[in-house]
Amino acid sequence: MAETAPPPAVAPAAAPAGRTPILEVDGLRKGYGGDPVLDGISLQVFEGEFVSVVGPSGCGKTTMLRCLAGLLPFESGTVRIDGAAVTGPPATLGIVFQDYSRSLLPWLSVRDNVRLPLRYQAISKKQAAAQADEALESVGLAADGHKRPWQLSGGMQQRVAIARALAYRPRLLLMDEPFASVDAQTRVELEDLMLRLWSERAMTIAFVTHDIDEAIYLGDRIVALTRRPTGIRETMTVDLPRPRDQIATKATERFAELRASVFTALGHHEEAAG
Amino acid sequence: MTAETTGRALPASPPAEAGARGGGTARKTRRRTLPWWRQILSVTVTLLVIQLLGVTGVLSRSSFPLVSSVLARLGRMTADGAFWSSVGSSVTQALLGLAIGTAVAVPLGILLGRLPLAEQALRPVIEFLRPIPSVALLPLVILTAGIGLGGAVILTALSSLWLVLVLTIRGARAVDPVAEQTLISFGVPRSARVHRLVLPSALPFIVTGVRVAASVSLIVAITAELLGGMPGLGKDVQVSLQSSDNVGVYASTFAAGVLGLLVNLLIKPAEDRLLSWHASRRSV
Ligand SMILES: Nc1ncnc2c1ncn2[C@@H]1O[C@H](COP(=O)(O)OP(=O)(O)OP(=O)(O)O)[C@@H](O)[C@H]1O
Ligand SMILES: [Mg+2]
Repeated sequence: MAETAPPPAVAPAAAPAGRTPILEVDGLRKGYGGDPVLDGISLQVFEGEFVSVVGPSGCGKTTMLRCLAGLLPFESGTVRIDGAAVTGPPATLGIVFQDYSRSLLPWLSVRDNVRLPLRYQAISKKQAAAQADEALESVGLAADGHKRPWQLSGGMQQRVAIARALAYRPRLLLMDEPFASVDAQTRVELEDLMLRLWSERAMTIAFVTHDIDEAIYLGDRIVALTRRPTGIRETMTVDLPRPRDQIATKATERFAELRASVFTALGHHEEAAG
Repeated sequence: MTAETTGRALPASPPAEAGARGGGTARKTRRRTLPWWRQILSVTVTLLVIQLLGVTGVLSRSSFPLVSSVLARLGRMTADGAFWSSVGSSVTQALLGLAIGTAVAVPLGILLGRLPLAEQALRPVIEFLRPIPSVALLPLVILTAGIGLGGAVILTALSSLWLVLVLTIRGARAVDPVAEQTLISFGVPRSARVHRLVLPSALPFIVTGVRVAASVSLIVAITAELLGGMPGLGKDVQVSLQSSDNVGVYASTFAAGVLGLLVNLLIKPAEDRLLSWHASRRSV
């Protein structure tokens, strides 16, 4: 699928042996009004994996996530979650969009935002309350449940959106550039928060980002997309040990090599992350 | 009467920022209304000036009675049961019509806002009926419903219906697609999305519609009374006019103006309460 030879020192990712795929995408095509955007995307995400998806701006990352989440019909190809073809929003899937200010409801308190999806689950009120509180606790917002989202900082609002997804207990979590609009310091904190939450829970994450360092730091594998019409340029395994550390991991030679490979895959001179 | 009832500058369209939830980068500062004591002060000064013009003979006494005699008459009228029953009729006709119009317009507007096909099908009908001034239907209403309270309510309900309907349709379209997709992906069913998401998103528009409709409803009620003879302050004005009781004409008109002001004053706190979360009125 990659037209160019993989850069040296980085092995193309092989399917992890013996693991079950939770998400299987095969030949996914989607365009808007005859203008092709996704042009035959095929990929697999395995149970418990953290997969980072990087690609040039406007190449269709959000479009792809919407198709995977059953929010957008596509022209051809199949999307399977746990082996079943996706026709509508799958019950085992949670999502965190980039724009927290638009995805949280301003008329509900933080706690009610987190609880809202749980009302329509087959769980008791008490259980729902417990799940919501636990999720808020785990993102460090236990004391802010009574506030309205707009009374919180951007980073806190995105943590609310993460808590809402966690409380829902998805097996597969899709994240669309969730940290693109927070400051650098907050971003680092949220990255580490995600790594901790992911390691504590039985959760598979597909994480879309513009930021190559972020993709490497977080992921087990990196899926690099091409420009439109969009296909998969390359899939790379991130063989950095875990737990990862913002300073130590990023200082390793291996990190630098991976970084160079991803940059090359994306055609680095034109991608100044944006 | 119109000067007072429309005193709070009717917006022709819903608050511009109503569509932009959250965010907060381009937060518009809220337009301030005068504090109540300054409103009273400005009314008092205006009345004093008119009184002065009357006393000095600048305004002819026969067509412009003195403010003092109008107020004195108003004072006497308030001791009279007939006055209060007129007030009661005007208010009932205005508010009952507003309530009925809103009760029909909100569900209908949400439905039409959510179903573009239905809206397209009904749009010609709406666009044909909407511009007809309620008052133009007065003869029809008198012929069919008579000149009782019911007739006036038909007119006020219709005028409220169109105002609230158009804004509700627009509000139902102002739902943020990101919010909606989030709820869909979290398995919130369609019916729940209507009252958890669509209704609150449309609320700023609906509230604007109701506020405007309340003022207009009172105007329509008084007009119907004036021209059609339905019971109320408008009819009192007409009766005074016919018996050449100029002071009475002014007193009843003034009372109608005060009613308009009160309607606005009462709606404001309700509006603030309902929309405390809205970007335009957050206290941060
Ligand atoms: N609803 C739509 N109608 C028409 N075209 C659309 C629509 N949504 C997206 N597009 C187009 O499809 C392409 C892919 O958009 P998409 O938002 O998926 O890109 P993206 O990779 O997520 O971009 P970014 O990195 O900026 O978030 C863009 O060229 C965009 O203009
Ligand atoms: Mg995007």
